[in-house]
Amino acid sequence: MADVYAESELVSADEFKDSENAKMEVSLWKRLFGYVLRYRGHLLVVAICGAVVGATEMAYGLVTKWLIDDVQANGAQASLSRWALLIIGASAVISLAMVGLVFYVSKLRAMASYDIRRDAFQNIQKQSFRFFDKRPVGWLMARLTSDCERLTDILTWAFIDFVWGTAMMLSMGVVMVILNWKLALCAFSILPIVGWATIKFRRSILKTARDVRSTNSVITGSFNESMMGVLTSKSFVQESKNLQEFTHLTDRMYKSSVRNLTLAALYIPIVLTMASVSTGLVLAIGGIEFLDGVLVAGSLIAFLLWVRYFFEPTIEMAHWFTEMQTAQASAERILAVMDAIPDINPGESHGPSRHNGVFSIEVQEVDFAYSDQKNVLSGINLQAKSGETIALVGPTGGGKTTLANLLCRFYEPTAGQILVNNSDYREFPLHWYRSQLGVVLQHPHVFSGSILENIRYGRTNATDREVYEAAKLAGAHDFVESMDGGYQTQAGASGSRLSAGQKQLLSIARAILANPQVLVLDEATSSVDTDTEQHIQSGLENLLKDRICFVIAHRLSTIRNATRIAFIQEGRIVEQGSHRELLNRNGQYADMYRQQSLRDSVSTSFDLADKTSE
Amino acid sequence: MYALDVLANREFSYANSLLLAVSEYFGSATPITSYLIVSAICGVVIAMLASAFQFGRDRLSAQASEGIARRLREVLFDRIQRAKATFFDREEIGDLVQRCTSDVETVRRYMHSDIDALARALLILSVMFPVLWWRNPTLTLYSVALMPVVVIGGVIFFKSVSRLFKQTDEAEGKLTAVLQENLTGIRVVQAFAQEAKEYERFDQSNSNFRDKYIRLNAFEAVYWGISDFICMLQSAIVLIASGYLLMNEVITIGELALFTSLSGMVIWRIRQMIDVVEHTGKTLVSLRRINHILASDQEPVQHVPANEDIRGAITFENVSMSYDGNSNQLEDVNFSIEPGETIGLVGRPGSGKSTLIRALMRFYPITSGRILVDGIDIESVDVTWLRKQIGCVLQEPFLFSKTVRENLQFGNHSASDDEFNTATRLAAIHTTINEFSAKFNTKIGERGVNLSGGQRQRMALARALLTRAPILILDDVLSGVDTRTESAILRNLANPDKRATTIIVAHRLTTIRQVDRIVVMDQGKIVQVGPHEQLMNQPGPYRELCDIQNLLDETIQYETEVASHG
Repeated sequence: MADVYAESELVSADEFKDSENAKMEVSLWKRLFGYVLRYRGHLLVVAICGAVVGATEMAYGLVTKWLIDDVQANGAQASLSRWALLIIGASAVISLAMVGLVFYVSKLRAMASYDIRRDAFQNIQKQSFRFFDKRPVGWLMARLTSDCERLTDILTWAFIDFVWGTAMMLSMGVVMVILNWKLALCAFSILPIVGWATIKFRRSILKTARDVRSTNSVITGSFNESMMGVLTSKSFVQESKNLQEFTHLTDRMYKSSVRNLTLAALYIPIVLTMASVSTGLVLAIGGIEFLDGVLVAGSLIAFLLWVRYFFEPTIEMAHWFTEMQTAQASAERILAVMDAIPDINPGESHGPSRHNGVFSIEVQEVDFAYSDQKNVLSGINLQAKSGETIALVGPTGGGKTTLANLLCRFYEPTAGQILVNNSDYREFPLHWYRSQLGVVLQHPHVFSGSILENIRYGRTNATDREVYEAAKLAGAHDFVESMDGGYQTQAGASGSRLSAGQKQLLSIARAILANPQVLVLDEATSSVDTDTEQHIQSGLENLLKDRICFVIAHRLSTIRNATRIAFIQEGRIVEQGSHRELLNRNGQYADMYRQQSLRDSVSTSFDLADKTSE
Repeated sequence: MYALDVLANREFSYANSLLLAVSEYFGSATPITSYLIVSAICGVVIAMLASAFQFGRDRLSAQASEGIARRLREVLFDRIQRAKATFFDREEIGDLVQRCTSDVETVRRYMHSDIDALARALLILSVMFPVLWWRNPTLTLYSVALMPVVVIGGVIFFKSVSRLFKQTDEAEGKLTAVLQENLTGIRVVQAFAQEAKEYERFDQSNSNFRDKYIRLNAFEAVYWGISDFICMLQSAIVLIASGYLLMNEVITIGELALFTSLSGMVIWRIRQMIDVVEHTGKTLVSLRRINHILASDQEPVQHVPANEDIRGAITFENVSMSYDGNSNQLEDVNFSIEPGETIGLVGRPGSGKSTLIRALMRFYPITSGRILVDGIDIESVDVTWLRKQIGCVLQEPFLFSKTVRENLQFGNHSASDDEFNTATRLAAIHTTINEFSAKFNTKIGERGVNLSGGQRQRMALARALLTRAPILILDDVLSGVDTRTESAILRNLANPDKRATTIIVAHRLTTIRQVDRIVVMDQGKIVQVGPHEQLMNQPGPYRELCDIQNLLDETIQYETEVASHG
């Protein structure tokens, strides 16, 4: 039981605080309806169709009344064929208008859903790494898929129903008042109670709806993770345990969904009962009037029909109203994604051509902290000019990757600045700056698709020949050629067919193909054998002549030739200088360097000590 | 209860007109005023009853449909986890996720409203039809005259709507897959400033889904329009016919009211059943997509050997393996590992190291030969048994978005704090964990993004060590770890109380030279086997690696000397 509690706590704590803006619902809906309102042409058609349907449906009722009156009054002389034609005509009009209505509303829904998804996607692309650090892929997926579908369903259908229902109620109300205001008042008398119930239920339905939607995204996330980590689960034989944990989620989903639906199930019957009370009143009072001869039978039947028409949209609206609360939960979640302000300002999307390329990068007094934690980097100073290679070395968790990420502007410094060509890199358009970079991340990611496409990702307009050249430089050509499909081989979902080493080589090829001014290699060859690595090194040498290169590596063979080496420990650069300088200093770097020797480093240094003492 | 509910529910308005009709019918004989009031009260009472039953029905159907959805999700989750690893090579994860979410939702919605609607329609039809027949057979026939047309149309429509919905659903699956890929690889997307291209790709699947959806709905709209028209026509026929009969004084006005309202019910129920048929078509499509996962090849449940005390001997006998059935990724591998031995696997990327491990873990089936663990053919025993004997750190280890402790517990759920401490110390991650604000309860972001590569690897190592399995596989575990930490870890591993058979895939010779025997692989074959000293002195690929290192060694020695003298 304690476990269940922990899980639920986890869910609510991690679903980042999108329920906080719950009170701004008016502006929330206003914005979302903006997505529907932009299709004015469609809306107009919908409105016309809706009006036609409404009007003819009313006419249908009137014709019924007239027909009965006519038959009663004129007996055998009643002109049935005229009424028949009228009814058939009305039916045809209603049906046609219905086709138009359904079609255009669906179209509207599809367009709105497309637009919302597009805008959300575009905003997601703009987010910095920070955003993705906190949000599992599955959660974001849920927002752009199921939340979006649910929302637009309501946005359009509910909107239409709402407008149509209101129009129906108003026109029916008017007709009823004109026909017989006493009876009409009877019918209206229960409206305040319906209103009161609505307000009462709103809160609880919304609350459970939020719970449902957030659990939904956690479930989506779980499905996604279960597949991404399937080999890990299998190797630890965790299938049953995972399922057991997953059932906590489905349980939670079940409970909150049932609670949500129960509330709705309670609300609608209340409206229904109220409607029947009003019908009852009309029947009783209208009946008495009928007996007194004030009302003709046809009028009473028609009136009862109208009461029904009056309450049908009410019930329908009550139904949509409960759905609306659910949709609001979805809306909040999507807006949270659409409104997320990227903490990196991308600047103008395509920078002016005055930026010719990056010829210098200077890190000045940079501090960095991931959200509300202690500094991961502090007081970093580092310089690089074209043609220089800077190696970042040091123990794991020291901050090397963080520094590389700052250099790529995946994050921005919390204090200090990074100068590119002597001005703060935040002044440049992000897109321009990134297109100067060739990056191999610590986790090489390979997309599904062919190997050719994956390398070409570095520069989409590269020719096949250029791709092969890059692959050769990266030492990937041989293994790619040896595969059955060569460069057309499918990499499988997230590159599942490839080993880590192979992915690294592809990523390097990708970075080389990008023909960057600045190359950032974050442990780019860690899963590659020394021979292949040396091969890549010599290939890169030529390439790096007039570029800036940052290299993170543990193998000193990679590092030794760097122009400068920065030894990073616990977020600070403790030593910086060329290989030779650092060796002369005989500090941390020299220590680490000696450890790379296959010969026993300790005895070597003893030997040396002996020699020097001699 | 259900029948009562169905009778009473929502039909209150009809019931009222029925009452009215009845009161008219018998009207002249009774004190009418009071009768009217009674019937009004009756109407309200019936409506209240109906409401109560409706509430009961809605709640029950909520429980039923949510219960079914819950069960479906759980079964899907289970099947996914127990599917063979090869299953995921052919699938796009996003598409699978869509099947588990959107398609389940389609089924849930069907269970929630359509089953109920169908049952209600059938009940009402079976009650109303006899009533109508009893009142007036001729009029009854008039009132269903056009219904066969609607039914036949429905059957034809069923097929087309299924086809269109399938396309729409698949488009949604594709959209989800594109989205999933983009989000998973977002860091690469941004690194190469490829947002525009990604947007294009997304937009393509997004607009494809939109267009498919519109097409489906256009079709539905037309169909609905036609069937609505037929139904209205049907109502008109009833009205005119009964009007005619009234005119000729065959029926009374009360009977007319009764007939028009009751036949209206019958007609619209039939119409509703057509909707249900349409939804059935959609749901079948969703079920088929779900079934794709349910029917995936599951890992077989096999015999579990009684022998729990595994020593950790591993033998590869003529093992060949191919992912796609064409070229072999492993070719005729023959090799034995003694219990307690440490083996280093080296070779170029693509030489078959990881494939060998995947074969040993039985993630992929071998095409020929046998792999034996303590003399037991691994294909003859249950995979879970096999995997329990192996503590494994995969290449690119996956950490779940859970706390550190929960991630470590993967290795051993009953591990004590002491064991946690020992394992994390052995993996040289203990200090790091204790520096986290919440220590072992710190939450790790998805894919462990808040950890550095080396930290993640060591976390995965600790997880594997916690299993205390007789066999330990470290596939490229220490690549992201600095040399000092690495040698500390290797020292730790060489020296635990009970030594496990260990296979290490590594690239740094500093790691490799410490193992008992080295296996050099090339193009899926084993080309050299032996201890470091032996291989170093043999011509072959290993010596070439050593030469590179030797050169480095000499430089190191030279430079260190120069440095200390200078």
